[in-house]
Amino acid sequence: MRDERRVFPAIRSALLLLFIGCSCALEAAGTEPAPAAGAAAWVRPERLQILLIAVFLLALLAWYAFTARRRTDAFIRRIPGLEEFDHAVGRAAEQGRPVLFIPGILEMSDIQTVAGVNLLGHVAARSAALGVPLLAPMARPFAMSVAQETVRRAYVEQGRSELFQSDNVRYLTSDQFGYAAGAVGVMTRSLPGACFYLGSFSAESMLLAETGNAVGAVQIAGTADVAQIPFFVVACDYTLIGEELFAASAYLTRRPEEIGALKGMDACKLVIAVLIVCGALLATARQWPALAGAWPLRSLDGAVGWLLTSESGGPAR
Amino acid sequence: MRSGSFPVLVTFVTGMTLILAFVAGPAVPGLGRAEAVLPVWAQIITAFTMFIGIFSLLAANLRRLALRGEDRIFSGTLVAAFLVTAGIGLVRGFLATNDQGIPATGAAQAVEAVYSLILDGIIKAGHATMFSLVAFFMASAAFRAFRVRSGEATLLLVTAGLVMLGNTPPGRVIDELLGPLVDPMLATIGAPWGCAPHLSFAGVKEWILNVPSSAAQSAILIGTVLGALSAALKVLTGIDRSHLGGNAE
Repeated sequence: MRDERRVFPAIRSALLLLFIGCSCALEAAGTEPAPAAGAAAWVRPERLQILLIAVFLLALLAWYAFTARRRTDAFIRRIPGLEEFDHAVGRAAEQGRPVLFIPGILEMSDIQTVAGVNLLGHVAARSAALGVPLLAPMARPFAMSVAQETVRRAYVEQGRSELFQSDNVRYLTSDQFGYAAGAVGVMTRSLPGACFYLGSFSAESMLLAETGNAVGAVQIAGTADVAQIPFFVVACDYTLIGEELFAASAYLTRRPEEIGALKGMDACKLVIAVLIVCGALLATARQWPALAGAWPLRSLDGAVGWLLTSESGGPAR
Repeated sequence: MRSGSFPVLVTFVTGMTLILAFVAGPAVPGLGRAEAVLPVWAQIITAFTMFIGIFSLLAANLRRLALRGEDRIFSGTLVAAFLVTAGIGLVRGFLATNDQGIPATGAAQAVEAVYSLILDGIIKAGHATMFSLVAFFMASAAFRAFRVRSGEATLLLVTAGLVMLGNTPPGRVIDELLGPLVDPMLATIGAPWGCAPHLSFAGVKEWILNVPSSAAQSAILIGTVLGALSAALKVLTGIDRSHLGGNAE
């Protein structure tokens, strides 16, 4: 229990072995379904639309990401919440209070948690540089393990590994309101000077943000959960709305590949915006009887009908 | 292969397998099987990671108890509650029940009673309490947000006021009281466009939720989906390695 640097790798190795064993058992128990005779289709037709759209968007993103080093004119608009990251940690250091970071309440399989843990690394590096304790109560055990490693690495890179305490990045519970109660308890006892809520949240967002406000912390939140954004906007000092959470890493690191992916995202949005405008214009034009039979409108009907027949989800049969 | 490349390779192969499995037809049966099996693997891993969580929780709190810190009363309560709940749960699993799942012996009934007390009397009550607190926290946040300090705050206040009136009985009372006075004026205004609007806070609320609010939510969702797609691409290709514990090369 004293030296978790030895114990955690051992537990991870044991889990890996269990995982391999269980997967072998599953493979042995399952039987491969034979393909239906005469139905040797390579792609499921009901998912072809999703495939084409995803390939187009991913190709656009990939092109921008992997050609980013050639472009030097990348401009990212100012995002106030991200610019305040360092100031918030600095303010906590001036007050002699810790920093609290919550990367959402979901597991690492959620892309928002991945984005949150990425930002945890930036905040941890800044906290280590200023010697501010960083508290990260976690709601999922696997995310906790990754967060611990991220924070430890940030402290090592800053040359302050002696300040890292594994107890500061610890698991509370996976139960939503149990976690909220635990995190609120951590906040009221440790009185953080800066609170970061970056990831996926549900109803507990209001409890966390209002408690942070009550203890007088600078609060920066960010989530892609549309229902929680209004709560964070009214209770926090700065809020990253939707995509800004995913853009944060590129904004803070300025790595060419990340900025390229960000530009690719904007290009995708431009394509979608143009399609929305064209669709709206064509749908409006269809209201005129004289234009109702014109070929662009017939094509629009065909395209919309084709897209609406797509199906997403369910295992292959 | 550089150290650190192997996890990126595993991530890429797993991600691409799942993407291909999603669209693959019966001509590639192995991928169809992968789509069914890989999520089960993920569930198994997630189940076993619970031991890491329990270890972390107990280690942190037992250490705090051993150091006799000022918050040791909380750590002691947590460890005791964990041991009692886990113990009761384990014992309950081994005790005999009849065909209807009802405890068969006196000891089993006693354990069941304690288990119900923990579940219904403490855990469910705690959940209800925390969820109820959201309403009060929401009220205090709304009080701060609705103070008229800027144009945005004023717009927020007016919109929230209209939506609240549309959702509550006072809105209907105002509709009935002022409707006979306001409706003729609204009809005069709407006559050139061939419509006859009438005062209805419920209608205003519906319009706010269905038109400006819905449009803003759709815009956020489009950005979010593309952002998630971009983040997924970065993870798949190894540009973002935060899931491996950091972005260092």
